[in-house]
Amino acid sequence: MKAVQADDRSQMNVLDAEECRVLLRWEIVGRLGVSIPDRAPSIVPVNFVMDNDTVVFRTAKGEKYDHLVGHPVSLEVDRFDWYRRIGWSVLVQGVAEECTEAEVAGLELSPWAPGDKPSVIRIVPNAITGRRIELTTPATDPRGYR
Amino acid sequence: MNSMAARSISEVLDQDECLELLAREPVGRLALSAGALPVVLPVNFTLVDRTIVFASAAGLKLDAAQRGVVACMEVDGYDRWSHGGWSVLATGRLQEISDPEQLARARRLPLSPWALANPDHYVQLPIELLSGRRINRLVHGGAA
Repeated sequence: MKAVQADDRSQMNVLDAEECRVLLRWEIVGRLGVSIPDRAPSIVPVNFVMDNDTVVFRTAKGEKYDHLVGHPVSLEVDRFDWYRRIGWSVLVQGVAEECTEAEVAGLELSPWAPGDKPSVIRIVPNAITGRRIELTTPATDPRGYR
Repeated sequence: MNSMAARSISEVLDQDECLELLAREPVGRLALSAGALPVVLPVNFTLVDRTIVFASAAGLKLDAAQRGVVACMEVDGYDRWSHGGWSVLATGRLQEISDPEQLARARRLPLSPWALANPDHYVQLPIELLSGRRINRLVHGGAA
């Protein structure tokens, strides 16, 4: 981890890829970002699982699907503690591919949202980046230990 | 595998509900296209009427604002046990706030750009399109 920005209260650290992968394996909902030509990009929450180092989820054949397969997409996960103003976020960027049911047999992929979601999508990451904002450790006051 | 899907229902949120949820959440995710690549970044924002306002340092977000890029902000909440949740998506054109009066107002907003001691810039996203939905899981699955 490397500090990129800091003030007297908190600092922002860059997470390495392995730390990002650990965080990704813990999360079950991410936000899928898709670019749509001549329009605003779209974000939709999806429940996903990690399969080795790839992101896998189900989707329906719709507008989202058309801008997904064969295109660069992003998946973001984060956790923030608003009270302490600390948290972390991880961004996976890669190209989405459709995969077969056989490839993902045994993965827990039941979609939370209603409707038929017959397509299984895999994002093979080109880049996994993350950041964490944490409180700086204050100088220890020895009186606290008497 | 779709047995679980059959036991959830999706409802569309009305505009007032969407605004209420946006006003309540301190953190949203901003989606931008950088080149043709979509990027999703968490942002601490506040809602002023129908405009999203946030602080920004030099970088991707500020560049996008200076170019007046169309972007969207998403907020959501979910429950990992019931598999229910909601999400709201607000779309508009990013703008850097440069008018001195507006800037002074932005500086007084309860914004805490995390790990950013003195924000140099403020960006706004006047909402043009707003939509949201909620997914409820039916516990016994018999309602359908």
